[in-house]
Amino acid sequence: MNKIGADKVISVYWFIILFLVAGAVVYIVSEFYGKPYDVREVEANIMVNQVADCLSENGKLIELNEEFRNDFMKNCRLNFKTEFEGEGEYYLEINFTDFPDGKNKVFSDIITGNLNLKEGLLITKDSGSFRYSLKSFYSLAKDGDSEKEIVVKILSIVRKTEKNAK
Amino acid sequence: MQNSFLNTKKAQVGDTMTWLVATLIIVFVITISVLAVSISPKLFDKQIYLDDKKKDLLAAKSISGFLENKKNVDILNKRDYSKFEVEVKKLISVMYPYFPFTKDFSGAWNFELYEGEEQRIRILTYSPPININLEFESKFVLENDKLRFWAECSGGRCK
Amino acid sequence: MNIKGQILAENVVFIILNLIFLTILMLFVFSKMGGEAQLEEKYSKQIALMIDSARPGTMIHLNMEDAFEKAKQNGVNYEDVVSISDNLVNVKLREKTSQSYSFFNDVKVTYEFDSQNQKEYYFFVDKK
Repeated sequence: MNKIGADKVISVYWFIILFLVAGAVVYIVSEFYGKPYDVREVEANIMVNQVADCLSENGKLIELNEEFRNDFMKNCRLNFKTEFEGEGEYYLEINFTDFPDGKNKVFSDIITGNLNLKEGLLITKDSGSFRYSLKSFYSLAKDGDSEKEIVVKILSIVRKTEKNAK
Repeated sequence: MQNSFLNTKKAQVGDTMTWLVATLIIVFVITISVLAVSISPKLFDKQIYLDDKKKDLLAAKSISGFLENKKNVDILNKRDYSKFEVEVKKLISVMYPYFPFTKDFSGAWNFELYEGEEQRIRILTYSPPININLEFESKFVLENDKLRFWAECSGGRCK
Repeated sequence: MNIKGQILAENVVFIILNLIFLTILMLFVFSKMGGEAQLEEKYSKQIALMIDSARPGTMIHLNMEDAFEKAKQNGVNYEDVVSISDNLVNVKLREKTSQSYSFFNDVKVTYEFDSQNQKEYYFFVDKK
């Protein structure tokens, strides 16, 4: 019996399967190696640390006067400019509340950056389009001749989706 | 004889059945792999964590601020350990759960106070301790008193 | 009729085609694994984050041997591998493309390739 015809059909079929498997391998490899590293949470943590370092020395809060607030970015060595023109890749919010309840504001908040990111965070806490860091620490603030115990809460949000997520 | 040859097609059917089963298995495995990659982003998550940090800056600031407070130092000097324990617990409530833990890793702060070699206060958030890794340990010495803050995290490491 | 020779030639061609196909697939996978693009991304982000964490007055040495190997293969000068303008770090290991990442720390960064040991880049972070 001549089986050449059957063998040729099976060869074509074999290559179809081969292409299918190869296609799947190419897709999976491209997906994995095509994904960028996501360093935004690390970046947000570093920003929180830098701001905390700027605001507090030896466990005491620096004076949050008008001059400091007006030039906050320069005083804390922050530059939110990136290679993207848009609305901004960062958001930073600092709250100063009483210790330990945290219910009453002691000083007014410091807010800078893209406000849309905060709204995005309130809507969806776990979104691939941004990462955040929310941390707080205890500090002493001058209150006339005495010192007041306060809690400083710092929220930092980093967008940079194009460079960290696909 | 020729008829018997034409009637017996078992070899042909055998070949085809092998290919059919092989195809089904291949398609099944490929589908699972591709679905795993596209639907579950956590599987190929390339999020970076710094899990080799030895100290936590905000914890150190909090604790040094706490010990700068004359009120707390006076309580300690008067040896009022129960009152001091209350103040430390308030501090830990502020320090937890915001740091040093990310939303994916939970943990807690703990505290010990020794007067000389004698333990006076021990605040363990998990009892017994969940792991023996002492993360972000801070030690303070105030005359005869030794204070120790450290973190313990689930999953082995604080991140 | 002699069928054996024909069947053998077909089988050989079939096997060779399979091998070529598998070779191309493996080359693709390995090219993605050790890619310049991955190294460029890794170093641009690493340098940007190091600058973010650094206080003025900090000197950073970064070993980039693996990157320099790729740069050499692609004909890129070691001095051109890293460039920093304003607050953007750019790492280039290929002729035509590069990867960049910005940092938020408002500092002045001077950088230099270590031409002596040819393994490191130095970064000096200073106040603006």
